[in-house]
Formats: sequence, structure tokens, C-alpha cells
Amino acid sequence: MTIYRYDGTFNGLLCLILKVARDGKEPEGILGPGDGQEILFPAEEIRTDEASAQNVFRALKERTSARTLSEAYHAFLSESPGMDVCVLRYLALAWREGPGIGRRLADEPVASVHETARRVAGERHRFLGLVRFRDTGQVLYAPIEPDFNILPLLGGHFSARLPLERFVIHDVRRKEAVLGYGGTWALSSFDPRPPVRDTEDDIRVRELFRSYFRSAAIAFRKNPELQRSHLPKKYRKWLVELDD
Amino acid sequence: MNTCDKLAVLSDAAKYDASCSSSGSKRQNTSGTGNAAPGGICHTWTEDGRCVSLLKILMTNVCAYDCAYCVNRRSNDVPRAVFSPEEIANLTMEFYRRNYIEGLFLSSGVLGSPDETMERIARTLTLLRGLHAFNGYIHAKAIPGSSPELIERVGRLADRISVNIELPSERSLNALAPQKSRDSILRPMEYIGGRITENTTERRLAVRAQDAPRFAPAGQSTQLIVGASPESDLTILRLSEGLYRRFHLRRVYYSAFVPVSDNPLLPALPRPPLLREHRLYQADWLLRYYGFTARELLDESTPDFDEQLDPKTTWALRNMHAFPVDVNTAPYETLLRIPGIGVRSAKRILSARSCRSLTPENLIRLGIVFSRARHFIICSGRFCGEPGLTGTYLRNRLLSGSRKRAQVCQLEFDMA
Repeated sequence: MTIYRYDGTFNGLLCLILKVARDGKEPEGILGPGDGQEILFPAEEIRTDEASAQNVFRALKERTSARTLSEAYHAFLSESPGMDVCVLRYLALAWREGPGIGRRLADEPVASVHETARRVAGERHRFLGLVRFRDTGQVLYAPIEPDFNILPLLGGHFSARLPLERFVIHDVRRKEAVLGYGGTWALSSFDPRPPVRDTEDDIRVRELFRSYFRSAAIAFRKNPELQRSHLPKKYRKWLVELDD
Repeated sequence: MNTCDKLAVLSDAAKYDASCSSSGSKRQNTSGTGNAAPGGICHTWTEDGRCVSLLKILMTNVCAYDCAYCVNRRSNDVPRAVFSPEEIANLTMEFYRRNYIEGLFLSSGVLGSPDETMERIARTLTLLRGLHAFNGYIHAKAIPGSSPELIERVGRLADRISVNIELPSERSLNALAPQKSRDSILRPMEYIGGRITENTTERRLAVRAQDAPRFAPAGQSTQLIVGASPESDLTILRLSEGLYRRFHLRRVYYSAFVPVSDNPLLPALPRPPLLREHRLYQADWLLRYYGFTARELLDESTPDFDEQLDPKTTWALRNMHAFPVDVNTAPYETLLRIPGIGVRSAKRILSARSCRSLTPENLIRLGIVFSRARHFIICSGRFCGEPGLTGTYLRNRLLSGSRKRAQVCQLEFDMA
């Protein structure tokens, strides 16, 4: 019985793939850093090594396609239970079948991975719009609470857009942040306290936007149900234009 | 009046323009602030469920014209305000860097003459692109009757440029918008359409990109008001079809008429015809992405859409001789015509069926609306619907099958 334990990162998963490929044994289980304490059998630890992860990445990309890897990465970031096993199977299948795997949409694990990847990409796209920066005087600071671990998918977009600003996009629940400066960005653990304070100037601009937001709605067309379907309550917490 | 009050007045005056799209431009950031996202990005949704993508404001709601359908008409008693180009540029930058918006949508009432107004719009855009090095999305209005030189200037600064036709026939224009003529609207549209086509060629042939500056890379759009004048859906849809073909418009927007006046020339509508607007949007999609023509969807004997059923299903019910279709062999164009199958699921069917013969379970997995499509397809060698269910019976089944009552929503994913 082979059970592996890895550190829960995508690089870790790539190293696990290398191990599985070398041993030629299909794993019976994969454990993340925190889980599986109650399991009786000892799990084999996978050491994450950046360089070999990069090699696996390159080899996979050459043999399959950039698209296949992107699907796998997006699905992985969903952090849904069991998705790492699914991604592992997906990449193993891709290794055997080559780029044609993208066409097997009606089969597992392709269907699950693509569907999950689509949801992660969807949430990322949503947050390209929903990130709200507050100008603290030193940096632009935006707290967010996404379902999926989308921070690594947001950094590039905002650093290309705001190369003249220092900015922080803070995943409040995961206590991580994208730190952007001068057109580049990095991920870092982040848990500020005391909480970021508002400046007078920022409150003034926020008030302007709130006023704009209110007057942009057409009273005759009022349709809160439609608003809710586009903008579920769970995403509203950090939106400066909303009262609730 | 302070900025906050002005903003309230001038966004209130701009909100009846239905266009919200920020898509279709690939403008990159060149050491300044902002870029364009080709697919467009929505930033929030107001209480009416419409998205906010751009800061949509008028430069002024002072207007020399007196168009009966318009809230800003000269004879209307509303507070008036004027933004300076500097104020608009600053507001845009402050909102943009906080990621409130994707860019600016600037329109205006006619302040003095069309050319004076257009000149102020051009000055605002110059400030943004120059002084503020802003590379985010800009949608600007071309004021009917303004000169080609000014339209040229604005077209080089903006991503999208639009002229609103508003009323779908010359007769209605004459009756309700006496200062505008069909000509003053169509001439700038024709000019813009010509310049966009020309520009595409210029840019293809240019050795260096800077030799051929972009002209409205996100194309041209327009808006038609639905329900303020007596035109049928057929008239409106044929006009749209002509605009897509002749001027290569990227989008035609439809705006359900909101009663903003008690002018006797206007119909007394109890509420805006939102469902009709929705059906027109659906039909518009069928023109642009599904290969339908206006004539296939409507004719003189049925010049208006069935509000109960979507235009594609209505078409299918009138053309049952074209069905059932075998999803495992039918070409893409035919798949697109099956109710319950859209662009995305048709493409998925094409890829998935190259690996295996598709079963009904596979189809559901691929995301087609099986409860609707089944009446029109053959799959695994079998007709998936109920034998003998035709005509009115089938129609009723499809009506009750759509779980929710026909609902008004906004089609806003823009595949431009």
C-alpha cells in the first residue's frame, strides 16, 4: 500500500508525479500537510524541490500542451478535497495521450478537471473586477475572500496594469498576499495588525464612487434578484460601494 | 455645485445608455497606468442588475436639442451640470487605480454646437492619454453632426466610438427628434466604419506599429430604443442586420424605453418593455454568432417575437422538417441551430465526439440543456424526444419545461 504525503503546493505535486513515475506504482492515497493523522499505515514523505518540479513542468509541457498544464494548475488551485488525486490522474493520462487529451471532455478525469478549472478561472475573472483598493497613503491595499486560492492568478494582471503603484492584495482567510511594485509581484504570507487604516482622501473618493453607484441604477428596472445572481452576497463584504 | 453633486447629476443623465462593454481592445500599458482586457471586465452590479464596467457619465446634460424620448431634452426641468475635462480625467484616474472601473464612457448633451461639444470630448481624452498616461479602456460618443476631423481625433484616442441611432426609422426620428436627421447620424457612422476598415489594413501593412496609430480598436457600436416608436421587431432586427453588414458594427444595444416624459407623441407604457428587449438581444446573438438571418427569424406575417419562448426555439418549432439532427455527425452550423445547444456546447460536442460516440449522458456532462435539446436530436442512433409530440403539444412541453418563467436578464458576456 503506497500513500504519499506532500506539502500541498503545486510544485510538491509535480515532485510527487516524478516519484510515482519512477516507482511505476499508482498511489492509493495522497495526503496534504495537515490531513490523515488517523491513518494507520505510514505515508511516504515527498520532498519538494523547486528544480525538479521545474523539470517535470517543462517535460509535461513539451509532451502535452501549455493548455493542459494550465487546466491542471487551475483545478489544483480550487483546493477541493480529492482534486490533487484527480489532477495527478489527469496529468498521467495526458502523459500517455499527449495534447489530444483536451478533446476527451466526456471522460473522467478530464471532465472533472476541466469543470473545476473553469470554475477557478471564473472566480479569478470575477475578482479582476471585484478587487477594491484603499489608498492608505503608502500603498494600495485590497482585502479579498475568494473561495479558491486565486492569488497567484491575480498578480500578473494587476502588476501589468498598475506598474507605478505599490499594491497589496490580501487573501484574508488564507493570510497570504500578492505584493506588487514596479511592474513585478510576489506572493507572501501576510497578516497585518493593527488593521489598515483609512485616509481622508480615500474616504472622499469612495464617497464619490458610492454616489455614482447609486445614481447609475434605473429605478424602473430595479431587479435585486438579477443583481444577486451576478453578485452573490458572499462577494459583497469588501465592496466599498455597497452598504451591506 | 461640488464634484459629488455633479457626478450624481451627470451619471443619472447617462444611465439610459445601455452599453456597458469594456471588451474588444488589446491596448497595452506603456509605462503609464492601465491596459485593456480583450474580454472586458465587469466591476460591480447596480440594483437593476446591470453591470458597471466603465465610469459612464455625460460631460454635460445641458442640451440644445429637444428629443422627446430623452431625459436631457432642453424642455425638461432637471438640474444641469457641466464637468471640465480636468475633472473628468482626475475622476477617471482616481476610480481606475482603486479598481472601481475598467475605464471611461464619455458622452454628452449638445453644448453649443456639435463641434464645440466634440472638441471638449477630444480635450478630455487627450488629457487622459497624454498627461495621465492612461491606457485603460475609453468609449466615446461621436455627437451627431460633428465634423470628420474631430471624429478622427477622438477615434485615435478612444478604444470604442459610438453614435446612437435611438429611433429605428426616419419617420420616428422626424417626429421625436426634430433637430437630428437620419443623415446627421448615419454620416458619422459611415465615416467611422470606413476608418476602422482602413485602419485594419494600414496596421497590417505598416512596418512599425507606430506608423499606423490605432483608430477605435474596439470598433463601433450603437443603440436603439425599443418601444418609444411603433416599429416592429422585424424592422429593428433588419436594421441591426444591415448595420452589422454595412458598417461592421461590433454591437447594437437595445434599450427598453423608460417613460421619462408625458409627451403625447410617446406611448403610455405601464413599464419598460424589458422582455421584448431581452428577446431582441437573444435574436441579435443569433445574427452574430449562430448564422441566422433576420428573415429566418421573423417575417411580415409574424413581425414580432413570441415573448413566451426564445427566438431560437420559436424558429425550430416552425422548422421541424430540419429536425431531428444527429449530434454525432451534424456539422457545427447545424448543431448551433438546436435549441438547448449554444456556441460553447457545440464546440465541446465537436471535440468530444472525435474521441468517442456521444451518449445522452455524455451530452449532459458537456453542459447542453438536454431537457430542451432532446426533442430535436438523435443520439446513440435513437431519437431522444417523445415520439408523436409535435406542434402545440411540443410547444407547451417546452414552455412548462423552462423551469423558471421567462426571465429578463442582461446578456453581458461579450465575445467581441
